[in-house]
Amino acid sequence: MKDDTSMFEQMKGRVFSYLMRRCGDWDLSRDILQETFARYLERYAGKDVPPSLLFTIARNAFIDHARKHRRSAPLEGDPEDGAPDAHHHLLVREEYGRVLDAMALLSDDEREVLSLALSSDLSYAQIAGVTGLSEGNVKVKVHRARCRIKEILQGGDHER
Amino acid sequence: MSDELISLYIDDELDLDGKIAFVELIHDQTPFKDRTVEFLRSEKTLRAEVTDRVPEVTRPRPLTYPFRGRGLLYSAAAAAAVAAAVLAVMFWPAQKTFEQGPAPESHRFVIYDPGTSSAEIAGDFTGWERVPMERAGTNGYWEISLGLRPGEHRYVFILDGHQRVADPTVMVKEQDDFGGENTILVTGVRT
Repeated sequence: MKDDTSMFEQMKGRVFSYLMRRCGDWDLSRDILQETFARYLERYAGKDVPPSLLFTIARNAFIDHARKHRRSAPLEGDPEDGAPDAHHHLLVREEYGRVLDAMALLSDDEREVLSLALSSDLSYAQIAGVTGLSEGNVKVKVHRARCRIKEILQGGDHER
Repeated sequence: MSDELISLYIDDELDLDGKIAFVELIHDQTPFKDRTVEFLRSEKTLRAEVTDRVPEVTRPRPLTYPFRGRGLLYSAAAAAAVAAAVLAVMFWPAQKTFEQGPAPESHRFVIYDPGTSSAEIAGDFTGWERVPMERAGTNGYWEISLGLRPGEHRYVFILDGHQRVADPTVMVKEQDDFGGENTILVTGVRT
């Protein structure tokens, strides 16, 4: 019988890195990784699916979380829901905290595509498939995000 | 535009013509070479390991999702539950309850399509198994009543056995993992 978890085990480090860069919160990333695993088992276990599908599932699970969070606590009105805010967590490598700080200053779109480009090992065409953007749009947004984060890390711009 | 070549180079997205243009720029323009090196140094920082510890994931327990696909292979009890669900689908034409838990409420799903020869519904409350809907009269409406626990549910209609259609009467939808749309329905939420 085909091992229905081997692909997930192989990819989970990358998926977790994507989630960490996307939301900056270790505990939330762990929960969404678990939900991604559950959804994968529920719908695709034992099937031949492309690795990019795991990022699609993780992205959808993250969006679901963000939607529920907004719905359950509308008065808190956190416009940066899902933005990095737990980088002081002991489980995040100390030197990476400033990168998560910088990623928090990107727009949601920029953070999304850059997180995928840095973590997933997917091509721009595959990232386009995951995000629903055009490939050309992915190309522009990835570069724009790189320029901006380089600027932030060099101390040139901490404003939004 | 030339700076975008740097990102394409970093992400291994250059075709051969792009690689030629990139190498020529590196050789001809020192500032471009310097910027490329800057981006590469920044990339080293960005791609560093985020954490020393990737968490373990566990298989969801069958008892948590008794009628969903998540734990079906893991216990005889779950297998029996599946059999019970299948029998329920076959022999309860009027109303079916797929989820355990307190106080399921009846919800009537309706889709209008006079041209289709069959209509089914699949959702988290059916374990994403397809359940046939029934014709409501002769004017093109299909319906089914299901018992749903209060909360958020996702589902889709399947027409003619293959055409997936989101519920046109519910505004909230989400992309599924294959580029289609699921409908999101919230039932019985009390604040």
